[in-house]
Amino acid sequence: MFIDVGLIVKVFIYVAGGIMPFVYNYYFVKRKVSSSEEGGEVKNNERRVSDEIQLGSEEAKPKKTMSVEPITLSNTLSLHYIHSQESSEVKGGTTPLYVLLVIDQNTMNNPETLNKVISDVPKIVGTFETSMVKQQS
Amino acid sequence: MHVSKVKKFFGILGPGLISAVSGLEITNIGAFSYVGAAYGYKLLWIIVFASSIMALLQQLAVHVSVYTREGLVSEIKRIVGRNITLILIVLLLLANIVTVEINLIGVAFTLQQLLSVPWALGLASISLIVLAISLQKEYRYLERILTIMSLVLSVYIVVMLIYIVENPEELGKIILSITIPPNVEFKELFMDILAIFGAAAAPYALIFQSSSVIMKGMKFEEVPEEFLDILTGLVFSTFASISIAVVAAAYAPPNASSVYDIILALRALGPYATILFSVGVFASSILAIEAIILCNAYILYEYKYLTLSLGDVVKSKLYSSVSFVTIVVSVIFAFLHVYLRSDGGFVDLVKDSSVLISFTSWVPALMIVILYWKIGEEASSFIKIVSTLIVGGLIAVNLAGIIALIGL
Repeated sequence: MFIDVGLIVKVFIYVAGGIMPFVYNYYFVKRKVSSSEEGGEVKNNERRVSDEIQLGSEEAKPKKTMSVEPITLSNTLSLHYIHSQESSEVKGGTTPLYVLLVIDQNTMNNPETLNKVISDVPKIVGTFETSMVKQQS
Repeated sequence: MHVSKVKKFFGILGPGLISAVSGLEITNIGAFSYVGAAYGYKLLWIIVFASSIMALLQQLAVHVSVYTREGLVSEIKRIVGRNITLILIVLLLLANIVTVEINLIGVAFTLQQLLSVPWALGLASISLIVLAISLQKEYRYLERILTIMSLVLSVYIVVMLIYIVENPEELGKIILSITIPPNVEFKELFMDILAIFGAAAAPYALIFQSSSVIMKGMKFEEVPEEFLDILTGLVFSTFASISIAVVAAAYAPPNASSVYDIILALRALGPYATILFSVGVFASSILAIEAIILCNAYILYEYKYLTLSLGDVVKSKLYSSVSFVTIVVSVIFAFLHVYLRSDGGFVDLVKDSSVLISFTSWVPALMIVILYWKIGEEASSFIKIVSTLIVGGLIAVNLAGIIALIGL
């Protein structure tokens, strides 16, 4: 029986290079998610904006009994913020604007809120900057 | 069927179809029309193959972004350093400029066809309109209107369905051509295959995929659901792309070269064909150009500073400068391109641009695969190998294309 090897190779590349990895990856990730849920493990709940923020594994795990704890200094983050480069007051790309974030543990354990807090930093800095420029002028 | 299931079905169908159809722009329409008109159904499987690779890369972009919580450019800069990242983003910006350039040419040529406006005047006018929209910054309302307008391009799907109903024997041929690759001379069709890859690949889409995952604060548990969204997009965009090629195979002249020839493929719609095509192309091109301007600003922002939301990027001073530079450079490219290709038609211009986009399509793919290797146990070894082979293959094929192009 005649077998068209070229056709088999083409079909193999077509399926193995295109559709199969897509389907396989879906099930791979789904399996990972189910196994982490069964094990009570929560992955990647911490937001890593830069290497300067590294949460400990204890902090990353959500606590079942959430209580409002006294505010704790969790970490510092330096933002290379656009205005520090553009402003005529602070010249030079080597002068970053340092922002100290003080975040309580409840916020730290809630990725959505943490995300919002961090996303708002540039806006807050922008407002400060505008008011400072106004005062100086 | 249960009511909730019907609702869920249409819940997926609606956004999937809208994003697929509004994602069609002149590069896809031109390249797939040419492929359909010139080769019939022979290269339909390449469209499916290229779209599947894009979908896999989108999956990996989501996975990597959920893990790293940073944009692709920021993260890659940390790994490969400033200089290599700069080379990569220059290539990415070049692909984006070429996409803007061909979209501007597409609208200008369509205006010439529809209203007999000289293409140079049309190109200048559309550039000013696009610049004005992007400098206005708040154009969400307009974006919705343009998305609705771009949906008229779904006429390609309608015309294909009408064609299949009238010629039911064609359905079997189309399915067979998609599932079993027909025999073609790869060497001869090399550049056309690259053009399909260039048209299917939207390098900026991968950047947006990553950005949207980070800004949503997506959890790992939500990734499979996002993968289903990507699958829906893949199914619809492939369907829409295939419909363009099938319609062109059925109705366009085999040596299609002008905008008129492409519109001829829609002649089943009678006098409405030109108007529907023009409206769809105008809207989808403006949407694509605005998205690319935003992407350019976002890439530069990530390279210079850090990952921010797209909303904040739009508000920055950098965005206005990037809009201006992108449009001016694209207009210069467009005039040069038309001048250098004065012997060819519109389809030749689209093919050139698609091949150029393909030459740089591996850049975001390479970034994603490097980052995928870095996420350790979270990554699948099989996918690591397959994705590396895919990116390696893309680089090799495109290098061969560049060598063939310069005639070595």
